[in-house]
Amino acid sequence: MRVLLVIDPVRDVFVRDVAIAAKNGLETSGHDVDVVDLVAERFPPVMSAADRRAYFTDDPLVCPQAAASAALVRSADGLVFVYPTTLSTVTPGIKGWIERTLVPGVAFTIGDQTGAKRGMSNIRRLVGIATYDDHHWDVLRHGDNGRRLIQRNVRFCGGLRTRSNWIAMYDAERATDDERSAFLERVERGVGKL
Amino acid sequence: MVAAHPCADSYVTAARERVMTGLSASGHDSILIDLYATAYDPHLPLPISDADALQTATSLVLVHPTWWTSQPAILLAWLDQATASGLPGVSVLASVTTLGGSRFANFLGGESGLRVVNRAVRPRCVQRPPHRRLAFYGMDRSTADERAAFLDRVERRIGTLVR
Repeated sequence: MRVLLVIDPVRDVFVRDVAIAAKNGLETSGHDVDVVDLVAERFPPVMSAADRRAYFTDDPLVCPQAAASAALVRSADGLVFVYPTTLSTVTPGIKGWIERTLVPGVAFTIGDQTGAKRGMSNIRRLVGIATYDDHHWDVLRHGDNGRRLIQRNVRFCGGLRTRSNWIAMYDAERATDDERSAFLERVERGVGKL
Repeated sequence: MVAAHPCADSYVTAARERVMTGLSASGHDSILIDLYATAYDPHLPLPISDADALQTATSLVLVHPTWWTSQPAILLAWLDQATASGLPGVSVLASVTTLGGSRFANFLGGESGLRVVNRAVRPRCVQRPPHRRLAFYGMDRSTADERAAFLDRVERRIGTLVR
């Protein structure tokens, strides 16, 4: 399986370790991995006026970085997101990547009368790996908007048989070194099997 | 008031103007932070002028389109930075937003934008301000009359929502 790993290791060294563990896990189990590191690439998260004006045209990818990401999405069989939860949802970096890369013609198509139609049926597996500063109970109570975005809204663009999985570390802020290394191991072992 | 739309000729920008008109007509002073016009950069710290405006603000009004069920990335980044201070002066949060799909489609989609403010921004504010929202559902299939009616409603109502 060809897997695209989208990571946003903002403000957090640990999230970078998680991303490395995910990459290692995928490669060990024989998958081809492409990585989009939003911090290292300085991927612009902000939809510009040029992006917006091109959005509903036949050629919506005016930014070369978004176009490169979109090409990776089109050739991928699996999509994996790694991020620290921010304001109960994905990081602004991941949100910006979704807004600017998963445009009409890549993730979905817009008919005249029918509304949006799924367009990413090549993606057979969707995985989210997220860290949360809150306790699991608080995340359940407040709602997990990042998970909802990926497992519901992005998932909708996949094929009917696209499966999705979630690997979460709750209470990450207060985690001990042992808990952190246990989580890294869980990611490395778990992600390849998915 | 914080506005987030890249295009000056957009419907959201028109709504922003009507918010300004409605606020001044009902006797409120408003400061506009246009994230695109001021070229807000999420990679830099919060601009000092924004922090100053937040110190004196009693209400925070967000005017934005809804993309992928929630606020644009630029606004999410700004909210994350701006609410770190706890916004001690703010006693009302208000949103004026447009949504492409119908109310039912957005219900199925999960309404993340509404939840982000209610359940993540609001708990960060010292006063736990109420969130009041003027939302235009079904933008994609709306008629010119409906769009004009929503702008009128925004202008008429916004003054009564803020404090």
